[in-house]
Parts: sequence; structure tokens; C-alpha cells
Amino acid sequence: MSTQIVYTRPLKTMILGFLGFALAAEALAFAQKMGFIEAPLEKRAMGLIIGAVIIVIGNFLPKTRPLTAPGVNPPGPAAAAERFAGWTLFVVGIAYIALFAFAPLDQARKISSILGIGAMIYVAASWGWMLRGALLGGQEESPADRQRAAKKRKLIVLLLFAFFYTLATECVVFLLHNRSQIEKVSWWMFLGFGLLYAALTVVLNRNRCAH
Amino acid sequence: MSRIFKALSDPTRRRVLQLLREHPMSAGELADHFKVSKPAMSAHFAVLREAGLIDSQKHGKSVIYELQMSVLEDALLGFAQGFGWKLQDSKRVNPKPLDREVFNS
Repeated sequence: MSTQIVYTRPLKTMILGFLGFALAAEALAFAQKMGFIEAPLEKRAMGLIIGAVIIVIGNFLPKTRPLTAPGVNPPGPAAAAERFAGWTLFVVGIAYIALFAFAPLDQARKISSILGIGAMIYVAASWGWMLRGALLGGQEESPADRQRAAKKRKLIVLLLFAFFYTLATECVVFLLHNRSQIEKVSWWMFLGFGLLYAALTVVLNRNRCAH
Repeated sequence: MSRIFKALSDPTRRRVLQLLREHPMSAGELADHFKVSKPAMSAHFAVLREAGLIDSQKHGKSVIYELQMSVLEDALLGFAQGFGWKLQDSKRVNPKPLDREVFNS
């Protein structure tokens, strides 16, 4: 029983976290439009929030064990890759917070996007072929194991989703130097990914019911 | 949170976590690494599982334990190891001198 609770917690945390993130972004944008806070402060606060999100994801990543797939991924290297990714994201998150708290805004944006892209590529390289095994699934025997594997696959899909979203945003921030352009593009990306995310969650839940 | 501190405050349990870091192991396999009796070992496993640091899976007759630690818990394990936390021992040792003082006066 207790293991089951521990097991589902990260998934819920992730979904709630995403919603909280969207809400915070909206609240900040609204506060800026209404003139409660200035534009640079809003950008800084957003950077701090993103840093916090990266820390939380990195922290829980090794606990959710997304890469374990019995019979496909060797458990030792899979756990090592998860731990490595978790620590990497944790450190990058702290760097984000330090940058957006203390560095000049332009530099904070540039350096953080480089850091973000680097960390993403690093994690992707270290997960590599194991990701395929985790997505396709291993040889689960009991129904309980199969249910676990299905839950894990759902988590992997959501993680991949967050991964591509973050990578795309980082690339936009890195490539576009015109600020108003960045805001417009990132807003549309946020909307698009949000809709996709909702659709994905619905599809994944239906799949689970069908089994 | 206190469960995690309790789990990490025992050297045997910390050693179990370090052994599991290499690869998942069965209860028997883990117990072979210690001189502690099997019931005592399973009590240790229970504490670790309660704290959510390890996960157990049944494979036929044996139970396989695997690590399930967040980055912060991993870091805490490192600290506990480095400073050699022993909460239970200090609790047990402290009251004795106090008793003697009371009796002497």
C-alpha cells in the first residue's frame, strides 16, 4: 500500500506543478499589464519560477524510476542514468535561480538558455537507448507489474513532452534576440503545448481504461 | 520527513542503500552482507520502505528491493554517511549520567 502511494505521488506532483506554473505565469503577466510590477521584475520572477520547476523535476526524477523496464533495461545502468539526470537538473535549476536573482537580465537569459540546452542534450544522450526500452515496455508477468509499467510509460511520455517543450523554449530564447518576438512566440508555444498536453492526458487515460 | 531521518540514522540501513545503489537485490542477497539476524534485517527493510526510500517487488518466492530516492534524499544519505549520524545511540546513552546524578544528591 505505502509503496503505491509513494509511486503515484510524483505523477500528481508533475501535473499539479504544470498547472501551478501556468497560473503563476498568467498572474505575473497580468500583474505587469496592470502596472503592479515592472517588466524586468516580471522576467526575473519568471526565471526564478522556471529554476524552481527544474529543481523539483530533477529532485523527483530518480524517485519515479522512469527508465526501469524489466528484461529490457539493465537495472543498474538505468538507475545510474536516472540519478545522473536528476542531479544534473537539480544543479542547473540552482544555477537558473542564481542567474535570474543576481546577473543582468540579458546575460541571465542567454546563459540560462545555453545551460538549459546543454543539460537537455546531456540528459538525452545519457538516456538514449534506454528510453526506447522504457517506452516499448519489458516482459511484465503479473497484472500488477503490467499496470505499473503502463503508469511508468505514461510518466515517460509526459516527461518527454516537458522535455521537448523546454528544449523548444530554450532554443527560441537563444535564437531570437528581439524581446517582443520572444514573448509572442513563447506565448503561442505555451498555448499549443498546453492544448497538446491536455489532449495527451485524455488519450493516455483512455488507453489505461481500455486495458 | 522524520521517517527519512530515522531511516538514514542507522549505519546498517545506510549500508543497505549503498548496496542497492549498484543494482536491485533480493532480501536474502542483502542479508548475506550483514551479520545481523534475518528478522532484524527485515525490520530494517520495513523502515526503509516506510520512508519511501526503497521499493519492493515480489518475484516468485523472493522479494526484490530497489532504490527509490530523490536527489535530496540522496544528498541527505551522503551527509548522514559523512557525519556518521547515530540518533538512536545518543538517545540511549544520554539518560544514564542524569540518573546517577539524581541518586547521588
